[in-house]
Amino acid sequence: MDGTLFLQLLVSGLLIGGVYALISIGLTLIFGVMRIVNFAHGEFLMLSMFAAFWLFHFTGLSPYLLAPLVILLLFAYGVAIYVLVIRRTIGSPMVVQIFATVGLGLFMQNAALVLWSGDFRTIQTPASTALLRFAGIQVSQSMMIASLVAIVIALILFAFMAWTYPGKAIRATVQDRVGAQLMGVNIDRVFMMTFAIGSALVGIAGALLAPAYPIFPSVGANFGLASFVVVVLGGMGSMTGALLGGFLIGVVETFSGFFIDAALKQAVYFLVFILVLVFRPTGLLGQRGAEEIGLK
Amino acid sequence: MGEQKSGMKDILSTHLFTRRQILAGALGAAASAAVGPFFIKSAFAASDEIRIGTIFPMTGNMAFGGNEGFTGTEIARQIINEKGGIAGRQITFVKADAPDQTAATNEMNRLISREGVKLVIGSFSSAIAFTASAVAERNRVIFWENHGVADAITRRGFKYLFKSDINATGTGGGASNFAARYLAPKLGVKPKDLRVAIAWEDGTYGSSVGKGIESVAIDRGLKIVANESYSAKTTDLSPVILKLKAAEPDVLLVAGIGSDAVLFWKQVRDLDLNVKACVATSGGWGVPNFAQNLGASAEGIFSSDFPTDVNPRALTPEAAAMQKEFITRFEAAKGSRPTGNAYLAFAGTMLLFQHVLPKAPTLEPEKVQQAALSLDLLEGSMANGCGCKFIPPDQEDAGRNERAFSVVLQWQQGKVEVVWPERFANRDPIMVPLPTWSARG
Repeated sequence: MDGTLFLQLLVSGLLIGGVYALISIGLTLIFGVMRIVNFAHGEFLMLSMFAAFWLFHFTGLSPYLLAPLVILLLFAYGVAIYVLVIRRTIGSPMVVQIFATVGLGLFMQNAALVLWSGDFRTIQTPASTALLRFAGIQVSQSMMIASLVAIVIALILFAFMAWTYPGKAIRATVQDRVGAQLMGVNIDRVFMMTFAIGSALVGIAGALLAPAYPIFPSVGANFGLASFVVVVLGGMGSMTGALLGGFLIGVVETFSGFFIDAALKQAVYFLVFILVLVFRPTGLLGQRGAEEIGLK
Repeated sequence: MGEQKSGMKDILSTHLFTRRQILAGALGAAASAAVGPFFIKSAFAASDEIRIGTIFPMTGNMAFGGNEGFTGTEIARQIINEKGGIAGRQITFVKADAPDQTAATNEMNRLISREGVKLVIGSFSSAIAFTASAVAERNRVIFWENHGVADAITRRGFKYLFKSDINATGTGGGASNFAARYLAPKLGVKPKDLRVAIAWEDGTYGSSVGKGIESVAIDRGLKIVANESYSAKTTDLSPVILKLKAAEPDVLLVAGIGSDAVLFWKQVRDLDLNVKACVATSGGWGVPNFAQNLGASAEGIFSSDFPTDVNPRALTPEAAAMQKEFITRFEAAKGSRPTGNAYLAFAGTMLLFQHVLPKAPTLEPEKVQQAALSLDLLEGSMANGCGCKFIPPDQEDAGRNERAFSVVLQWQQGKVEVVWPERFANRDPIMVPLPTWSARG
């Protein structure tokens, strides 16, 4: 096998891995803090891709310029969904939370079908078709941007959690809800902020992926599955774990798709997933008892 | 609470019904069974209309195609009714909406047992055709399918199923045929030296089309250098594209169903896979959306597809007049040119209304079956250029129209044009060989 092909496979794998990581960060944040697995996560992504599409459609501006707007919209949507749905499930059994978020996902998908039909759409700009060439290979610029942003966001979020007051409040809440409350932390607001930030992170993912992928009501399901695997593989609630898990899944998927069979690539990454869970039940960077201690 | 529990126990420990109740219930059931048929609307209940069921996905994921199919079917009905109907009787449709297979079963049961229809026209989707026709067969109701392409639809030995369009082996095979008969000579190589790479999505649709591509490619002696499948739900096709690239094909033969087609071609460009031609097989590659989503990079792609706007010279005068009428009415209804899918609906329904039902206006299944099997229409007789001869029930592929065929379309300036075979073509093929991506800029 020649070096260029190897490099191309590796880079392609890292790029799609970066995309998975980007999508997963919001999911792992929400889980890490709130202990809620948001099964509507893929639909949040779909919604943000549609938001990016429509903003682009009506303004004609570059989707990258419109990204802040998408992020704001998704932040607001996150607040609304928290108030209307999620807040009512806090402290309820897991089953209630699962039903609530699965139901929310179904609702969003079907609402999208009614509003925008099942057709797929894409954003066409010079930016979405631009290519970067180096070392004899070429890669899509939009995918490159998405991957780099995933790394930057993971780092920023890490720093936010470690060194800022709201970050510390969030971590305190995770460690001991009652204790944090006694220290004057407004738990409800922390939860609302976390859910909204998680949602805004999906907004970033949607805005950056919109130029690279066809957009249709069930697009979220295709990405959603991979993001769940990434989050569990990386360690639930771990930002850097999500990053590492994303890249790992991407590379495994690309190489197994090439050397074994593209139709089997999911089977291969699930095999890796199962192996990791057998030997490291907490995931790559997760900590033991993550469901009690959580965020890293 | 305690009382409730013991009350529950009482009910459970004694018999749920007394013997008298059971007897009364049985009598009631027998009575309603006897009276029931009188409440079912007869097929000709409202004076002298011919009532026919239609089943399409009018809502949901496939709504676009389903509505298009229904419009084509409806235009056929209007034309026939304006000409005085069949044997002086007007046709009315009983509409059913089947966004998925479960709904297809339920709606077929409703059409048959509640509405009492004897013939149902469908259905846009292979999956819906597959399910709906099974319900029809069980109830001795004719199922007239104009769209579904999966080979399996006609592989069950059904007696009351007729399928007016081509099957997946045919559309897939059409791509290989085109590569061997047109592309190889055009590129100046013998078919055995033409390096072809095959790729297909691994669902019901793509896998049957993919098999069609492969078997005809082998028959025509093409040199298959790669044969890859992928899931249409995948988010990344780079391993597939890189594998194809490593095989250094001259021509790509592909089957994609929806948005995967856009992702596929986008990644072909991103990863700089240069081929001399790409022949797709309808599905996601032939829909208007495809070029809208890809812009200039869609130019020059071929698609072995349902006949669309074939050259009127290749049609009989009646079929040519019908084609013209259809285009005018479709444009008035939808504001766009009819697609191959709409043509299938129209041509297939006209076939039924003009050539079959006049011989069997009572819709008696055996009579309709006989009339359909007696058809012997040459190429150019249908509005989309096909002919018609159904394969009889005792043979393999019973009920399939063996004179349905595919043509090769090409994306030229954002539109699909018929380019091959020559007698049906409106334009000449262009961009053979395709320029490399770096030359296309």
